[in-house]
Amino acid sequence: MTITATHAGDAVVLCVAGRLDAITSPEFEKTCLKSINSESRRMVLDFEGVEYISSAGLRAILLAGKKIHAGGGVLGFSGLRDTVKSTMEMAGFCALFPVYESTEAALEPR
Amino acid sequence: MSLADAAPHAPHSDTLKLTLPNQMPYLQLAQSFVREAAAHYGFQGASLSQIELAVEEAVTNVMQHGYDAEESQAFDITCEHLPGGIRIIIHEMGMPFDPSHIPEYRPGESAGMGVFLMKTIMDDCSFHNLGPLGKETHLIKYLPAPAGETSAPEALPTAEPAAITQKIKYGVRLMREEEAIEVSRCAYKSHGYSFFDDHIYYPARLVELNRSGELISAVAVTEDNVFMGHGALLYQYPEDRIAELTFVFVNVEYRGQGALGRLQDFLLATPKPRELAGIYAYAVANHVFTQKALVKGGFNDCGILLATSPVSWKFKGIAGDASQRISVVLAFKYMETPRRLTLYAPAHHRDMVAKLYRNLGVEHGFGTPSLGAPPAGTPEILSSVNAAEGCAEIFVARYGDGVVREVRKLLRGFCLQQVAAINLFLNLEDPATFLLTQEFEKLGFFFAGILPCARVGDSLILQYLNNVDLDYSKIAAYTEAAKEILAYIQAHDPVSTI
Repeated sequence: MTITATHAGDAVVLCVAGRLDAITSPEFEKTCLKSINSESRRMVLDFEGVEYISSAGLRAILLAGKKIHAGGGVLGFSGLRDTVKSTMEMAGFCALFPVYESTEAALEPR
Repeated sequence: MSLADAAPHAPHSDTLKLTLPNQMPYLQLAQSFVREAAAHYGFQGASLSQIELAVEEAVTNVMQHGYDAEESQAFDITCEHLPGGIRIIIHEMGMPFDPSHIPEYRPGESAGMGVFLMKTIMDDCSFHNLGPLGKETHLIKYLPAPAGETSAPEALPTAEPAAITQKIKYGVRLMREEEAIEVSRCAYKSHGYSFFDDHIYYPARLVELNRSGELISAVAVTEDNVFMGHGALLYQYPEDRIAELTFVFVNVEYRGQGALGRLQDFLLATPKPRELAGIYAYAVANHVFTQKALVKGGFNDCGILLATSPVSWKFKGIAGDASQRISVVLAFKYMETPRRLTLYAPAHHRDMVAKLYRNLGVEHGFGTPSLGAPPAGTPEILSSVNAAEGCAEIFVARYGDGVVREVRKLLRGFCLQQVAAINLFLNLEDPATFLLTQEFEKLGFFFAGILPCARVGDSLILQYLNNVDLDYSKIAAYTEAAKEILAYIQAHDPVSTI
């Protein structure tokens, strides 16, 4: 799994590639939480390169989501592949977090 | 009834097994192994990813919760090729675990998410406590039906054809593989998608079950080889000496031709893969047509299982009560003369049990055990649940220390799962049945009937209803014996007698 973090104003974009499973998720969780600071209002998880996610990855997302929500921010997704989207829908995540067509769409001012 | 099997299974030639250490770095190896096995069994695409996900959830449960952090152990993963599917068994010797304590998953919370995903993705997911033999997680997934291989209701006429009134000539024979699609369609046409066992809707599974000998399918066909109806014998468990007469249905236009009876006669007479001690059948009791057909086939009633099927179960073209869960009359027919047994029916049910055996044409002896120490050792209890039906079975295969407590624990778990009807099978040849039946009745179980040569031997069946509102007057019992059984059951139902 690889993660690239890009900060742009109050937004942080994490481009993730690989598998988010019980082995890789602790690292993913750490990076997500570390990327959220007091200025963060938007976190976009660009999952175009994520081919697999399990409950371990979903739990990490929940923690990150709770942290950014606590500061009045929002967490969203872009580039979801069908398999990953299907797991997230199953777990009710697509109702909890916004899903965007692209990272650019997620970063549009609103 | 189609109930997921929780018993140990006989090794199959296409069964694969891998033993791995309980350490996280081996997770992907476990997933790759199952993925390859599933691909070998015919799975592809999204189904493979789903299986991989379910395996991760099950295996990480073992690694993270089954053992202490520093405890180095191994666990087994077995992949069994089922007809049209795969069964994955994860067996480990870790800490005892009570599945009834798994919290219900709520989106936005982490608790219970892994088990929720497993149960959503797989066709069946169950946890089994084997006592000193450890624990097992069972995951079952069936191949998606290829396009056009479901019963394709959209392709079927919306109006039901009229019954052919004149008598026609037809034959009954074993099903040919290419006829499986017609069988599935007929199942849909006669029952919708509410059949006890969804195997019937998947032609590929029907073919494989017939090939493996777990199912014997017979069809009635016109002289022009037009499909009329189907009936089958199903071996529910690998060790069974009895088979269930099931999946019996006839297309509406061919009803009234006597095909039901001829299918039944053919199945009784056709050579079996192994000798059968008897055949049993569950006849729905929201109408009497099936019960009548069984009487003609020489079956006799030996029990009534209350509220085993949801209200939604239907039989197109036949009017029947649809206001409450459906009960079934259990009927049995010996295929060989049984040896004389000494049975330990509890004293208060002895007369009824003797009467039911006489109704089946058999006289057994009855024993009274001397009061001694309660059964020692580890009890062996098998259970299975059909979530779609809201029905479960518990089999006491061996009595032992704490057997009533263990049954109560299972019962509680089923009640929490909102299973409506739970049937308990007790071996009548075991003296402990005489001594312990009343203890089970104190849990709320009450009399249901008997079943000879069942999974745990000739059995006394008790039943438990979990908050089911039942009007006994709406249960249609056809024979005098069935009426008497129903009255007896009602008299012993703790709710009905309040």
